[in-house]
Amino acid sequence: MDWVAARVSVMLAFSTALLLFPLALWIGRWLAMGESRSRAIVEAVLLLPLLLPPTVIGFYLLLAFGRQSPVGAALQNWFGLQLVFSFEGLLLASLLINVPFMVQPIHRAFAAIPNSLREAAWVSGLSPWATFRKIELPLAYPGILAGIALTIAHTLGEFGVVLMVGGSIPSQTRTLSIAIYDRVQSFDIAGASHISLVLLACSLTALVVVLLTGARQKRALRDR
Amino acid sequence: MKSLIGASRFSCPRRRLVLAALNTGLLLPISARSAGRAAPAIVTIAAASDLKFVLEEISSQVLTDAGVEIRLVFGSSGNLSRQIQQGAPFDLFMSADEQLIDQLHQNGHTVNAGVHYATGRLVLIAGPANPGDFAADLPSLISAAPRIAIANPDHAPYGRAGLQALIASGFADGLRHKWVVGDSVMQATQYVLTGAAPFGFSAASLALAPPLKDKLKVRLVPAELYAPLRQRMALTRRSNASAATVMKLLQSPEAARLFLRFGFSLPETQK
Repeated sequence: MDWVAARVSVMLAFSTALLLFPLALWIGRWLAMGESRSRAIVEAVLLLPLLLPPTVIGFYLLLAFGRQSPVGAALQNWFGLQLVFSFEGLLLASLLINVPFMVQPIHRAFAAIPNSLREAAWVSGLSPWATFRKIELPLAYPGILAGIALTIAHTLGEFGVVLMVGGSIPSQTRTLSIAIYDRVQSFDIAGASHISLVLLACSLTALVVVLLTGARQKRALRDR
Repeated sequence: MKSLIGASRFSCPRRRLVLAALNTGLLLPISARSAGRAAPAIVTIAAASDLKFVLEEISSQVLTDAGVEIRLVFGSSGNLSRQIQQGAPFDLFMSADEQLIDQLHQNGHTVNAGVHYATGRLVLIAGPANPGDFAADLPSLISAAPRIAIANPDHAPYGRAGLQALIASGFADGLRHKWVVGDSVMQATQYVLTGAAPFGFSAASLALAPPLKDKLKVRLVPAELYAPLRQRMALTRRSNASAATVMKLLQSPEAARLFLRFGFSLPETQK
């Protein structure tokens, strides 16, 4: 079991979820409850990473931030920051790719809250912020958890972008999925299957957590 | 009617545990990352994939004298060269192709023109999918094969050598329609091992290494059929003094013995 790669994977997954969460919460709620007409376009743009092959995203990131690009060279010279073949570059790519995985469930969760409940809260004297905290968030909780769990599970399995933009540098960009690929290439089938089983177990756990929380919510709503 | 509104959703103990775990998990990356900064000197070597076994052996036997942590990244030489040009943080590049080092040097990515450390050998291998006779001559063996595993000639030196050998053996187009193309010579070898192709072009240093020796049938490809695989290594611009020490150790007699043992031939100056 490649613990160094596991640490990189876990750090990447949790950092992505942590950084995406506030943004996704705000955008998801705005998509569900806002009234602007541009919401459809925004939703479509946010869904784009789901349709694009990860290698395409990785390719464009390489073009944009590689040492041979003006932006990449400037970042390197002025800030010593490198956005390719580094953990930071992986994080940026991961943030871009996971936007739909975090925003979509949160959007659907907020959209499922009937307006009548919010209006009842306002009429009862709750401020919009208090309504959000005490009414909307608790009702949207399974969807939010689903978004976080899906993002973490998806990032743990990300391969195409990591390969393009990360290389396979131990302790920096060699994630568990890359480690599996490297093991297979190095004729270490036993090692590869070990890591694969661990990843499979993590993904199943995430799925079970999401489904169980959703099931409890549905049962509670059904038994009113 | 059970009321949802007003009941706190976070009072259930199990849910609080879940939330606490999530919060701790989110804090973990921050502490882990800063702890990793106090590490000893690290030398990251980008190595051609034909060096997979010999470099691991050298690393554990010879390079420990340098007192640094060695990180090995294997891949096809062309791929690694491209990554270096795009800013990958490697200290030393051990290529299987001299010209790649020359190009990097001309573009200012290496400290100097590097050192020719060994010469590789191309072999034809047969795997478990191929129980037949391996003694026939090369051209008839190759024309009888339904598929041939080969590293991508565009960026893998051993793949290019394999293509040269095919053309020199009389197959004008190199039998492209039969190719199973690997990303590196290591992947091409793996295709033969797993039976994706009955034959393939591999490196002597991989096919004759202890982990694979008993699983493959190996034949040296006559040297006149391909351009010599002169392998060169050089320090990159971002390398430090430890990397220079490592490079010197790679040219030591002990390292030379290991290169010989794994099927390389040495440059004249080292014999």
